[in-house]
Amino acid sequence: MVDGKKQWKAWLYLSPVIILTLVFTVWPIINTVRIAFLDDYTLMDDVGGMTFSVGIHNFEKVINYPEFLTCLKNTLLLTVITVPISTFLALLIAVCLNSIKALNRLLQTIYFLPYVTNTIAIGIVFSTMFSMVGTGFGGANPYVSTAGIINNIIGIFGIEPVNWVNTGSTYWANMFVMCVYIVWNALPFKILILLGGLQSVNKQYYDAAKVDGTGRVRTFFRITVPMLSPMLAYVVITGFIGGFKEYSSIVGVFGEEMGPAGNEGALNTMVGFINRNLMSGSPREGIASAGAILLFIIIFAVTMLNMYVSKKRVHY
Amino acid sequence: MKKTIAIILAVLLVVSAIFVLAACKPNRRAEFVLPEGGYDGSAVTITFISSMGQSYGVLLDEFLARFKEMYPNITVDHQRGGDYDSNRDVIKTQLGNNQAPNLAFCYSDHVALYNRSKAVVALDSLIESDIEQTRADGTKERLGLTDAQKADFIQTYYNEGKAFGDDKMYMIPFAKSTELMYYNKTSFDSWELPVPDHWFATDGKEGLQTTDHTSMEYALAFIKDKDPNSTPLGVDSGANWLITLFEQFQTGYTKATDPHYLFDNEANYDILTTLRRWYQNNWFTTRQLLNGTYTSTYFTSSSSDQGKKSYISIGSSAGAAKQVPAESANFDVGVTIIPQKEANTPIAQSKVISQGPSVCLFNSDNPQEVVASWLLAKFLVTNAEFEARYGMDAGYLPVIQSVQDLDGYKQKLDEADTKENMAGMAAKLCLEYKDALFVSPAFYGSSEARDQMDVLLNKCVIVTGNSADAIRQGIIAEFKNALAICEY
Amino acid sequence: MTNLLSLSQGGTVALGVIFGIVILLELCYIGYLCYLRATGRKHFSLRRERQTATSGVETQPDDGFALTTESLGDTKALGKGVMKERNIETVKKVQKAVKIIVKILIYIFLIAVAVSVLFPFYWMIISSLKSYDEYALEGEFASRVSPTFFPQTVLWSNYAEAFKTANLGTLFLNTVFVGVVSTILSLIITVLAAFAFARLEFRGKNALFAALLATMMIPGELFTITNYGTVTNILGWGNTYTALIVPFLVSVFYVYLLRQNFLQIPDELYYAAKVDGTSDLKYLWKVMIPLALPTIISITILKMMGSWNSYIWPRLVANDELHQLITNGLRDTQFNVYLPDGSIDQDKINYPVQMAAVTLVSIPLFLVFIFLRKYIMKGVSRSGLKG
Repeated sequence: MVDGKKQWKAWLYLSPVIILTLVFTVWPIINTVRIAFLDDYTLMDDVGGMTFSVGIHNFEKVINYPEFLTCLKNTLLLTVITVPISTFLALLIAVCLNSIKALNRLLQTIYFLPYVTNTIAIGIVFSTMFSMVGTGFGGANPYVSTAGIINNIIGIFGIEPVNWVNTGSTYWANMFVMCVYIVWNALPFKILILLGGLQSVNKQYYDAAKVDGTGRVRTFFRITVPMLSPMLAYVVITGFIGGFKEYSSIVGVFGEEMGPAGNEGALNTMVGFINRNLMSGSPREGIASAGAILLFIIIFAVTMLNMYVSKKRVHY
Repeated sequence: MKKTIAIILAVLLVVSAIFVLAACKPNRRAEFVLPEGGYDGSAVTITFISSMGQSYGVLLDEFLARFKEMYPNITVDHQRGGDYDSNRDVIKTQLGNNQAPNLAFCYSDHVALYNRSKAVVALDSLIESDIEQTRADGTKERLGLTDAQKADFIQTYYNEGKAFGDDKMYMIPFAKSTELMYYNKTSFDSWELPVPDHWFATDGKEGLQTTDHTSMEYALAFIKDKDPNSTPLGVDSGANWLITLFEQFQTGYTKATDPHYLFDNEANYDILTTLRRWYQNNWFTTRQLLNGTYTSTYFTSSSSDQGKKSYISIGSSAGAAKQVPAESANFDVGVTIIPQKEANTPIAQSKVISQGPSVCLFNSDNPQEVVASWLLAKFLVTNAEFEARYGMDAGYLPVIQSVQDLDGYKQKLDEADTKENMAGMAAKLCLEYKDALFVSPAFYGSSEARDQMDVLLNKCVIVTGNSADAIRQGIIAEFKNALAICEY
Repeated sequence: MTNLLSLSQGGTVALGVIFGIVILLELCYIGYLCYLRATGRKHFSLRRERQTATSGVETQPDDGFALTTESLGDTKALGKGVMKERNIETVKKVQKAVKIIVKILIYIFLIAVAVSVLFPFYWMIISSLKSYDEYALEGEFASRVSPTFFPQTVLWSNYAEAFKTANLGTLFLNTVFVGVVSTILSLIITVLAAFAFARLEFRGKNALFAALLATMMIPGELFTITNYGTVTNILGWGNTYTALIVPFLVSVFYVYLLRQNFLQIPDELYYAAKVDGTSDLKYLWKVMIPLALPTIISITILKMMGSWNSYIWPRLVANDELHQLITNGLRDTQFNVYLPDGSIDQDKINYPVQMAAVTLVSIPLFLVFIFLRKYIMKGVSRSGLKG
């Protein structure tokens, strides 16, 4: 079934990928694992000639980090909130977009625009949109003025200005802004995938449904969603992976303090924790590596479960 | 299938083994030994990472050209880095892989980090060297620093380079700044309000009740009373403020030897409790609490509404120029030393924090590169003209006192008495208070402690609670948090 | 083992919470998919029965997204009975009206989404045209409560200043060079690998592919330190274009995308080509690449975007003026605010000029995207087809 010549050829074609992956991905991974199991490893100490004993001290440090639970909670919350919302919104938009003719191409183009932007740069734009200027946040005096455009917009509807991202803002206000931004960021890719899926759904099913006189909503849940299930699974799986690695969007909105002034670190995530241990005045590479391995295990477990579920349940 | 996995694993092992072997070069750096005869005139290229923006780069380029005339065989590869933190990360990664620039801008925190790799050159042998170096034009210079040159440095700045616990000198000061208090002189005069020279009321009374009229407590309450829409005090750096307070009141912040962190104590809870009350009264704000807006914008603003007006601003001497009021807000600015622990504290007992870049040297396989780098660093920091011009351009303070002898600089200082010459006023003041300067200890983790001071202030001032006790417990909890993160 | 036992309570609680939440999540997700599956099946089995049973169901209103009428089966059945008694004309009119209303609602929804998608871009552009004071609500704007929606004085000079201060010309050239070279090389590598995975049979194919996919799950930040050592110490590529290009040539995601695409090309074509004696490479070049062109173009653009946005790595390995890339250049540039006397205000960043620079940097990508829109969309969407 497999002839030797082709074996040889396949490996030849794959050789650039294999070599580059070994050097620039596999080797770093091996090195990371090595570092993670060296107690209290830091790069500078290593260069300075210090030796480290082998152990799992770094993992203990990660779990005992005072803000570890916060990081974990935020990572999970952001994923759990944004993946379903963005998937549902993307599905809704894709179905609507698929049902119209005029403006279709223009709207498609617009929806895809966030995909080609820099996360941090647009994060700064979001942060200015939600910000307010004034005094006394959290103090005895109420805020006096608001400059963020969002507060001006909700003011039109008679809603009191909300302190979204500034000093004294609540955790859920911050979370809301982050969710809005992450969903905004995640939509283009999802819309695109789902739209592609919709266009490839065999028209016969719809014709049959029409003959049957099935209602739109029923058609949607009984034909569209099942037919789209491979794409939905794909979008959900990649969404989960991306969600667990959330970091730069928060830096974009809140800066590297990962939270509003007075509540620094409130929105820190797992990758934020890893980065903080890599890039700070007193970096601890051992702990960063251990954190990354833990994160990898979580992502891996969730992805495997996702894959397992979709293999079993997704309608092809 | 099993066979394939075995093969893949074997390949991985072999490849990794190769890399481990390749990476296992002897990576411990030997201590720098000054070559006999100093710089021998050989051709070397030295890398210099600065944080100078393009505008000051021009000035540096001019002096690098002069240096090249003196030592034509030394080529300087000047790399304009990013901000201090990104330079630190780049240099750290380079050091981690046995690479390094030859000299770089640094803060003492950075040197504490780099020092772990034992790659920073101890400058003592260079400073003490009496080798004569001959320049291209035939003139001679001493490789080390002469006694006059050593004495010329402002001592606090110079000694900062030695504060790493082993009495060796690892960095030489380049340019410095300090915190100053700017106040709205016109308003102070019209209200006949004395300029505060200490923080807290000595009689323990709050607000206008206190009879201690030269305290910040009284001044803030007074201003808030006169102009209820204002935020009387703006502080640009919360961390600097806390570190200075802890130093002035001797309540403890950090120290260079283990245990490093001393700030978690009752006296400091008291200080933060007072600051919280001030913030809740809307008496002050900080740059961080304003999401990065410099408080000087409030100070110089003409706007009397929306609380966007302050009458006192505590900010860096490097930012003196931005404390100049907008033309529409026509008022005079006074500038003075920041308040102290007690009224009328003499200069020698006053405490003012000092900051700013120094230069450190990294070891190299070729000792000639190190000596050449030293010659360059020495040329720049002992050159009064360079120091003066850089200081004037960038708003930093020169690290040597002989700048005062330069015609232009002296004239600038003498004329400095109006808001048009704010930088000059600031510089004059700093020279006057040079004995009051202090630096915070540097060690592995000191930058984290600094970051935590910012966080601590922000978190403590917005603590809420039903009773004074609950508030205090909230503040204590924030201290414990900060300590836990520092000690992590 | 003793170490394991010494994990503090917080740690154990943390672990418990992770797994608890993950399991809960998974259960929800499984439940949801089961529901989909179940309802889907039910529908297909019901269809045939209904085809024979009902005839006049055409009259049922296409009520778009009025979920309530749909979910309440009883109401619907009731409605059906009433419907039958009405004459066809009215029903058709109602149907038409409903259709139009639904269309309008759809358009309103879509346009609202489009506006919210576009708003940050609008904000970026108007910000780039404002003066510093107008942007920061300082100086003469200090008394304003809300920011201006349109710049009072349009400062096109911000763009000129951005171009000049950031030295964008050189940065553009460097970035385009690195982008083009790495894209071409990356495409060659990706196409070959995707071909091998999609079309050739060899031992360990699936294991290798799975292993490659697994690497996607690791946060890339971790690779930086080790890779920096590899590139500078072992390979000696410091401050070269090579160091900017080679480490990022392989993207598992692109291999995956293209492989999915290749898989859709019918096997028959390949066997026919084999019978004709066409070599693998020729078949790849003549048949597969043209068929997979949309995906290849979209990979090209994604790759270009990558070069355009990369920051940490270029900063480390090649940050001299000769090789600096655009993001680094932008970050390192100080966009100054000038004081009345012409000197620089040290601590203010001229955000409008920075926004102008960001806009300038984004424009090439937007243009490429708008011109190649069709291909990108086709390419990316096809990747999901055979999940």
